[in-house]
Amino acid sequence: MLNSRAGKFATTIGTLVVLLAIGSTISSIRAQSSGTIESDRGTYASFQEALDASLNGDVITVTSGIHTGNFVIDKSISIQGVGWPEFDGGGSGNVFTVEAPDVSITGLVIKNSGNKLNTEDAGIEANALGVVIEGNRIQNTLFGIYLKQAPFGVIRNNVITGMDLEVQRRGDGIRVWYSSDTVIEDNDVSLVRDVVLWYSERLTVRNNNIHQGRYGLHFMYDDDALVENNRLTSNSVGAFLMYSRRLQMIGNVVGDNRGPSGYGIGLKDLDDAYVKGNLFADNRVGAYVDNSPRERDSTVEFIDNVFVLNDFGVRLMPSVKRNQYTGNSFVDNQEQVQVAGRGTLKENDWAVDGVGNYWSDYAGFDANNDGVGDVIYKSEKLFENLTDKHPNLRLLTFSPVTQAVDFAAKSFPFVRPVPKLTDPYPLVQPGTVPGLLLDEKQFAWKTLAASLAFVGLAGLVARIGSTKGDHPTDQKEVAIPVVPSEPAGGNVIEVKDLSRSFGDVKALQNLSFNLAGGEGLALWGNNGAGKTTAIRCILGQVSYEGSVSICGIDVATKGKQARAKVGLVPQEISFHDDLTVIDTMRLYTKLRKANHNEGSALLERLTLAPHLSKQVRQLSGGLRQRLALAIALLGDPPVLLLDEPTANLDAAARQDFLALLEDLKAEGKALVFASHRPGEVLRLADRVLLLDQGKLVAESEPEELMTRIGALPKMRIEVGLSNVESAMDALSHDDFKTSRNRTGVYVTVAPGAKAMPIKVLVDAGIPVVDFDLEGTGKGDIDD
Amino acid sequence: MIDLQTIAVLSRKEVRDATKSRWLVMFGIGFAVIASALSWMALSGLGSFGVAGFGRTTASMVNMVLLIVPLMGLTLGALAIASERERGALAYLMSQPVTAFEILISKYLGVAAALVAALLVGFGISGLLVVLRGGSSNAGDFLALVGLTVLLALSSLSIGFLLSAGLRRGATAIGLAVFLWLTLAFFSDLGLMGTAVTLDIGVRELLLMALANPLQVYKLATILSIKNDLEVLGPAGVYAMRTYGDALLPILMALFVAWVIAPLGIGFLIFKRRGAF
Repeated sequence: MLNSRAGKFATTIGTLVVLLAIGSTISSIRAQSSGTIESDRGTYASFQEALDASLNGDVITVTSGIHTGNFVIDKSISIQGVGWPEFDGGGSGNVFTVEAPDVSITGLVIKNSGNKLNTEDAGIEANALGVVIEGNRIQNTLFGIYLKQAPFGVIRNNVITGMDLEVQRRGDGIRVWYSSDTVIEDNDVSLVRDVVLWYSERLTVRNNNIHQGRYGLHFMYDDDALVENNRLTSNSVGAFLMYSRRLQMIGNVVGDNRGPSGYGIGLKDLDDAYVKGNLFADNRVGAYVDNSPRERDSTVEFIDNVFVLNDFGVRLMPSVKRNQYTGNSFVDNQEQVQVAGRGTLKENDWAVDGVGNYWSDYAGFDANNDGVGDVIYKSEKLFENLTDKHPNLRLLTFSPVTQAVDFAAKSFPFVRPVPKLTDPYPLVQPGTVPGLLLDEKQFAWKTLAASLAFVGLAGLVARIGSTKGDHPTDQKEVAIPVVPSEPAGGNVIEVKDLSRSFGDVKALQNLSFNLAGGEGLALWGNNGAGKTTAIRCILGQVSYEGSVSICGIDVATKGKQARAKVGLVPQEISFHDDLTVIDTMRLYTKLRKANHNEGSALLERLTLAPHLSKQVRQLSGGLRQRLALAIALLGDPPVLLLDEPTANLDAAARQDFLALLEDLKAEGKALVFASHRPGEVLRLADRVLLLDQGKLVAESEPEELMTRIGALPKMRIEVGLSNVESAMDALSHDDFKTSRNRTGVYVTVAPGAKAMPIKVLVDAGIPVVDFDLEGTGKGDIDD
Repeated sequence: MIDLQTIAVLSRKEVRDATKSRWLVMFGIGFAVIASALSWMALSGLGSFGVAGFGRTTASMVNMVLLIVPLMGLTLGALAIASERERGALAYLMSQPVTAFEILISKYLGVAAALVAALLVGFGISGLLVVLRGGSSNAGDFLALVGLTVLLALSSLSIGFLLSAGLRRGATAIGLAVFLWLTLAFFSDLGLMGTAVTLDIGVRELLLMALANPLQVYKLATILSIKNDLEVLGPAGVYAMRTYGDALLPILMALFVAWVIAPLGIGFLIFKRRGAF
């Protein structure tokens, strides 16, 4: 068994070794392949042999194959590749060095030159006249094509890709050095340092696509050059054009050049430059002009160009003069024209022969429809002027303050800046040039998806905010538990030395009391006596000295747990008026973590069921208080706190509400309530705390207090002079407070028991001749 | 112990209240209309140059966001507590078994959700307009803009809550919020401008002073996220890039988060001390 497995393993390994060997052999054969090499002299095994055997005027045709080496062409021959033969420099020196005139190299893949900047290693270096380099793919070479003193050359339709190095270590994609009358056209050059064109006259640079380099074009001392229809994109600088005369730059697309200097084009020391019909888009600076023109009788002309979405459309050094701008469109550049430093641009022309430029920030009009605005365009933005002089302030670009500053400058002439430039004939329609598509335009699915997702998310939030949910009455009702959480008799509230100050004002001083379940405690006193403050302290809503505990829970340290044992009925409820009764109940049911059915039962019990769909604002005062009570009872708290609970109710509603509270008290709830209504106190309270300016003045039974303060009515009962003594004895026996009044007695009576003295007297056989009730003026005791 | 269920219940109530707030509705509609109009205008007239799209929209959006979103956040935040305190609703709520922290954080989450939803509607509609009109758009840039705007809204809201935590009247809170908005959007930059011109302060000092304003933090973070550099902001922007390099965006984000958390934290302390009255 073991041997069998070992045998299979050995077989597998052996197979892999054989396959690897075959692959290696195939690869080796390919690497050494010379393809087919034919020339006018015959067929050769290697390219070098063919080269050696060739004579001027010969054509060497190389069909595919890989040819490694550094080849020197010293005869005027043509090398034509078929099927993309590869010429590999092996990583050193030039791949091709052309030393004979009129050499033509076409259809080759040329790659892997050396990478030394000091020896300027190139894919093709030509040192002779009339060299044509056309339709090649030049890859991974330090310099792509280097014409060194090789005039009348043609570099056409090549694809040149540089080495993957930091930009300062790269060579130039194309380097033209003392090589006048060179034509460079239809090439695609990328990932190189520059395309350098120095000391060469009458150059034609046309239809090239130069991207992802440092300087797309780097001109020096190149008079009479034509730069036409090129695309210079995503370089540090699109084209730096220097020390040249009569340069024509026409119809180029210059975009997304945003390197450290970031110019679309930079013009330095140029004379008679002619810049027409170009698109400068999304560069840091569309066109930078420094000391151009430099000669007294020369100009620089910008005609029909479009500057769009650049940080700066045109940046001119303050010394620049004799620039002429006509027919150009300045569209939404952050700053249309910038003066780099202190100075004005008054010696430049912003309109020629009655034709100015289009300015997207022009605020004038064209009443006669002649295409020219009827109001002069002035570039006089204060913020721009400030940033031109204090470039640090550009930090505030995009801030609203920039518009505010410009608005202020327009509104108040004394801060209006001197116009940077004036265009007397501004155009009202922008011009057109070939479009720039930096990337192939695709339908923005991701943005579409994100946008839809955003709207969807917003809808979700709105849905979360809606009040749809379970209906408390959806489920079967259950009765509210009538057994209090704490057994009656035990203290559910213990207040000791409770004090509260507001600054120097002592709102409450050393209040102490206990209260058991089923008891009622009234807080009595005038406004400012401290009743409401006491209730707030009991709820833990304000800080205090002393201690308050509810069901043994310290309010100061465990306010939330303590409040779960308390239901509050405030004087005036501040609900969310636009909520319905049912939604309000639902909210507080969840908040108080009450039983779902409990809410339904409470609504029924408090006769709120018919009003479930009404908004709170539509309820009468009585119903609002009932709703407050229903909420207070959620979670079956053993304590109810009531702050003037019937203050805003009419007489009938008050009676109903008091009856409810009496029932709750009977069921074992402890009631603490602030009141100034004797009737309320007498019906609900077992004890009354009389407060005055925060101090506890007295604690007594309700009747005692009412009597003490003269809040109870007296009944005068006429019994005849002979019966006065016996009447007083009979009433005193039944705990009535009495006093003599000639032929009758005065008796203090409680609400709801006014007939009792009469009954006592009748039962005692004392005839009642007449009776009269005298009010107290202290309150609505008869309610 | 934080009670998440209570926070969820209260937050939902706050979302509901906020979505019915005339302030939010007014701001939300305004934001959506302006964002859509900016997108529409940004796409008009530039298509022929092949450079229309979100880049242009983003620039105008940043400007508009700096103006509107802080006003939204500050006013909604300022109203959140003070107006309920004024109506007595806060006192009633605080008589329930909830803590001050639960109330504050629920209010914040609820109002924030409604505010963010209003912004998302505006961005969503404007993004749809850009896409459906054929504008080119980088979804990453779009998301960065939206994300940072949400952070700006949250930080403004936090500052609004800080104002509201100690005030008893809604009108006072609104007045202060508007004044603070003017300060953040205009006065502080004007001051910065005046200081820079008269005292000729260096880029470092200018940058640090600017970053004391959350609106500037937003601006820098947005531009940096979308353009990958701050050259557009001149020497101070270049200084920021060169000094802090790759750490700049994390620094800005940390500042932003601090602007969300710190005012809310201080606001909580004030709220806890002040309570419902």
